[in-house]
Amino acid sequence: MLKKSRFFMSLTLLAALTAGCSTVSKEPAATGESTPGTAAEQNLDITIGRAFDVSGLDPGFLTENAQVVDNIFDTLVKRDENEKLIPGLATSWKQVDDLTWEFKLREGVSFTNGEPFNAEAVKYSLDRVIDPASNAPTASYVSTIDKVEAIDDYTVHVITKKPDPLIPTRFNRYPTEVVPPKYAEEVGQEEFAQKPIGTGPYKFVSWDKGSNVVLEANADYWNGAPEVKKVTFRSIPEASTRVSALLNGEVDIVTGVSPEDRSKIESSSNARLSTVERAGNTVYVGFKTDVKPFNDPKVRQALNYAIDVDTIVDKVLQGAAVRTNSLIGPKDFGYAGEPEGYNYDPEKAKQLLAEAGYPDGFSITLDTVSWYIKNTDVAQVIAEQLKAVGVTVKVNNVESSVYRTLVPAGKQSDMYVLGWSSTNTLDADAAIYAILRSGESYSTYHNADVDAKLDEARSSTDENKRTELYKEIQDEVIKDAPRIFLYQENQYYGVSDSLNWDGRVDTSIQVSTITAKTQ
Amino acid sequence: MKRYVLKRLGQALLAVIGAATIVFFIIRLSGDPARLMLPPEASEDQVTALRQSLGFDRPVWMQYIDYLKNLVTGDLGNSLYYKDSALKMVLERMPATIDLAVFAIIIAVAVGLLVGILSAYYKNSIIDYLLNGWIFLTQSLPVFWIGIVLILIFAVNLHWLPTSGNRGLESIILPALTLAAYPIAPIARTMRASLIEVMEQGYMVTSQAQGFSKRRRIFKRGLKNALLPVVTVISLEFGVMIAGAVVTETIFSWPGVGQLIIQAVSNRDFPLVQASILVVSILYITLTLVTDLIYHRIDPRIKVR
Amino acid sequence: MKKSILPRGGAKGIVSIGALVVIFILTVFAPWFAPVDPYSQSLQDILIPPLSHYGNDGGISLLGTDQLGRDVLSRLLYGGRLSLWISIIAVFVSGVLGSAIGIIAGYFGGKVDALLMRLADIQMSIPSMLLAIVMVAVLGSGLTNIVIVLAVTGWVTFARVVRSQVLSLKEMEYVEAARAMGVPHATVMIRHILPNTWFTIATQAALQMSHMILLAAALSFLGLGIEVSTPTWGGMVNDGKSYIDSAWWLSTLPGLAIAFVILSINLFGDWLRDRSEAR
Repeated sequence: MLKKSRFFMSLTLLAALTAGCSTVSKEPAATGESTPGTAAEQNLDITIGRAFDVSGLDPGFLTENAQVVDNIFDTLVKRDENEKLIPGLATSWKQVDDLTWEFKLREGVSFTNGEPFNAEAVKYSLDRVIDPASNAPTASYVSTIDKVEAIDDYTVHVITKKPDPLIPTRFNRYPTEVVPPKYAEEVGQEEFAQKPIGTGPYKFVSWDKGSNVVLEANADYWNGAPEVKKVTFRSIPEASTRVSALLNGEVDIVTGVSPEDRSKIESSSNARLSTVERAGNTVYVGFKTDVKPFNDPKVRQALNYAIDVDTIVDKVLQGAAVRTNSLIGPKDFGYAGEPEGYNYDPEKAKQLLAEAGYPDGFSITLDTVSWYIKNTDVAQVIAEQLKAVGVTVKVNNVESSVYRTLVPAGKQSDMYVLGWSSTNTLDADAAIYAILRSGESYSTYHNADVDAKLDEARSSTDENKRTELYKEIQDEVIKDAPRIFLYQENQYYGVSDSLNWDGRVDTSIQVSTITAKTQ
Repeated sequence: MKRYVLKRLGQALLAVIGAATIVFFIIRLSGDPARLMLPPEASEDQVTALRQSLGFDRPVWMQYIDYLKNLVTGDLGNSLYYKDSALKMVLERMPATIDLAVFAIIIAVAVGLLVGILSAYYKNSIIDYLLNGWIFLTQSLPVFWIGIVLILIFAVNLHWLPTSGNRGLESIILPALTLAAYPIAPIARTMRASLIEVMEQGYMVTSQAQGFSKRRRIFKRGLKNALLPVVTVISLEFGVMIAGAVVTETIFSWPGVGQLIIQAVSNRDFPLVQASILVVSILYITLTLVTDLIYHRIDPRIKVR
Repeated sequence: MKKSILPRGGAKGIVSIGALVVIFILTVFAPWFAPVDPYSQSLQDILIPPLSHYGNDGGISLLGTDQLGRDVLSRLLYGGRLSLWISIIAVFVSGVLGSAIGIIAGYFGGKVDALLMRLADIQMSIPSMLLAIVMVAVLGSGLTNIVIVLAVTGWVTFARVVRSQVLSLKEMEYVEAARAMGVPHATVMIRHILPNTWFTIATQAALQMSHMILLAAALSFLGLGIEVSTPTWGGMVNDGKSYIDSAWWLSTLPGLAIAFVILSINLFGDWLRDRSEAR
């Protein structure tokens, strides 16, 4: 192969451009393939198939989730398998006064390049993110922080602008992962995103852009060397291809298993399905509530009555989601059980539409995007069901990258599909503030009372008070119906039978927790 | 000869500049890249700041001039998404695509020549008709459909070959077969036609008189003479191959330029789209140029196209 | 390609024209042939295999249903109608544009010719698939845009073929005579040159037609096609590919439909070419 392609290249006078590399022979054929049996061997080497490649590896400047970088870096606070906060790079933390949180840091930890981990590193890592000049994509996750002070080598104070009860959870997720100041300064931000160095259980090896990222175990990890010695994160965009790769033994874990592929994994002899109920987005159809006809709550309620959510979940999603009227996921702080909502009742829908002055319905465009499970299918079913009550819907499937610009700019159609989750702060604030508070870029809802309560809940440190506020918000929102309440997605992973691992609600894949099954 | 080469080189250069221009202006018709590079939560101020720092706020013609200047120095800008040199990324992906294309061409040529020779040899017999029917069929099947069916049969059901990716020889087989399906037809047809033509020419009749066996006659002389038009067809099929590669690489997650282009398009990663299309076009232009020059050397009567 | 393949001579023409007429009638009159509305969903009857009974009323679904319980046969027919219309319009637009450019370039020669042909060369240096992908990505998907994109990628071939024919026609006595008599250029081109290029244009149109269908299908397959609920063949293959091992008919049938149409058109084009060579 090498010879042939060299020959061809010189033939096309391109040898100079592509000299020396022939990708087919570059990678040893056995990489990442672990059949049951070999897995228990000492050099556990696994491959994880994901839908997307990373776009950068600097935790301070991520534009996607942190599944890969989580393994290279550590946060001050971690979560155990029950999502309880436990010490990470910080051994303890406490609130000193309304605006100040104190973290005591772990001693004797160093970055994989030998740089020591200390308070300066924490301060540096955060300063570069909260500095407005650096335009950090996820700066809003830590926008409540005013500054970070290094008190001594192993003590930091985090000063917030307003009281923020969520500081410890914020220090559990990107962009608060700690980077080595000296190295980061030396190579600069762009280079750092290509060749990251952290304190985490894994060291960066290589990144073949658009294709895979390879990490190897950090033998000197402060929390003990992990069992998996090498991990490859491979991007396989097509869901069914991902599953076939798992069943063929080409990869060991796959994310984003689509509903129709579940049975394939369940019935296979070398892999199993790992289900995490309600770990995904809460999907809804949003209305622009200041635009006709959606400025009338009756119209919004009518459309809620017109949709048969149970059938959609059952038939279209094949049970891959859970119908819910709750704004907040069951694992989130602030969850108050499952509230009553709107049950399928087309007659009532027609009646409400007539009362609102639309006895013959109206025509509208529904924007949808491929981000959620079978979303274009769901949108088409919604269109069909709304047609039954006289509302003519044109489904507009917007390309992913376009949708990413349209929605925050408020330029989407008056009716649009969106999903939201608390990601790993696991708190009601993250679950609803951005999509219900008027003025927020993802919100198309305007309700002064809800706004006030959202703001109050955000800066209160009294847990009971917050729970109460979120319940009030939820009751009011359900009555006011700024959206069609649909469902919360489950998440499905395929896992090789040779490994011990299960999906988590916070969607992280902590490779250091993966172990081989002893047979 | 020299004049021809110079003229042809000039044309190729013009084509490169033209392609660069077309690509630039098509892409600039699009939306706002600054918005895409920032997370949803980013404020308008942040977007504006970024737009300025990247120069997207300047007049298009100024961006165009800069673009041409940079082009000469081989600077095609950085990928917006990966923050890495766009040209470097494309070149890194190029070998995978070339490997795939070479493999596919080898399969297509092997099968195409065989079919062409067989059907010329058994001209107008049932074998000729069957082979041609099959060729006609492969040319009519959409590339993406062939790919999906091959995965279904050989990877999902039989577990003989991997479904995707690029790891070793076995993983290139399915994508190469998929990509080879289309060019088989023109190669086989050209081979058949030129072989028949050559065989009907006078000197072949002479050798028949000399008592060669039919088979040897075809191989010894006819083949040599018939190959030239086939070489041209192969080089012309390259454009079609690239088109096929975009689809094939997407189906098989083959980490080549085709997949990169689709990713870049869906990320609205302008510089990367620009760089990939330019590199592919230059490759295509070069290939056509080289074929023309070789051809001209062999047969100087051929005029500038 | 003098003596070729498959059903020979007249038979080739009869078979291909016959097949095309059948396809044409089936798709143009899709509403009459389609058993049900191609958009109508039935969530109780999802993924029914071909020739199987529906759940409730016991009727038979000829080609099965898709993931929303829509009838595959109906969608195939409507999808075919759309796919064919798109390519016919695109071929027409690019044919008119390309032929006009070809005639002008060939007729006037010199600088005009050089300019137009360089333009064609430049466009040809970008593989048409890539050009189409970028244009769709920029213009956005949708029916009109797809037609525009296809037409833009297609004109060059027409222009080149027509031009080379015009170059020889120009030397014909009656053309030279007309010019000598001072007949205006436009009239010469329309009255004397165009009618003699019809055959070339028609042959080229047939070949382009199959290219366009494949290109449009590939774009739909890559998710760069038309509105989601609208059935198109490429889109149906794409939609069905995640069900490829549980519901084979979803991707397989539209793929075969494309193949059948392309096969017929290619056969027809081949026959036309044979005839033009025989003339």
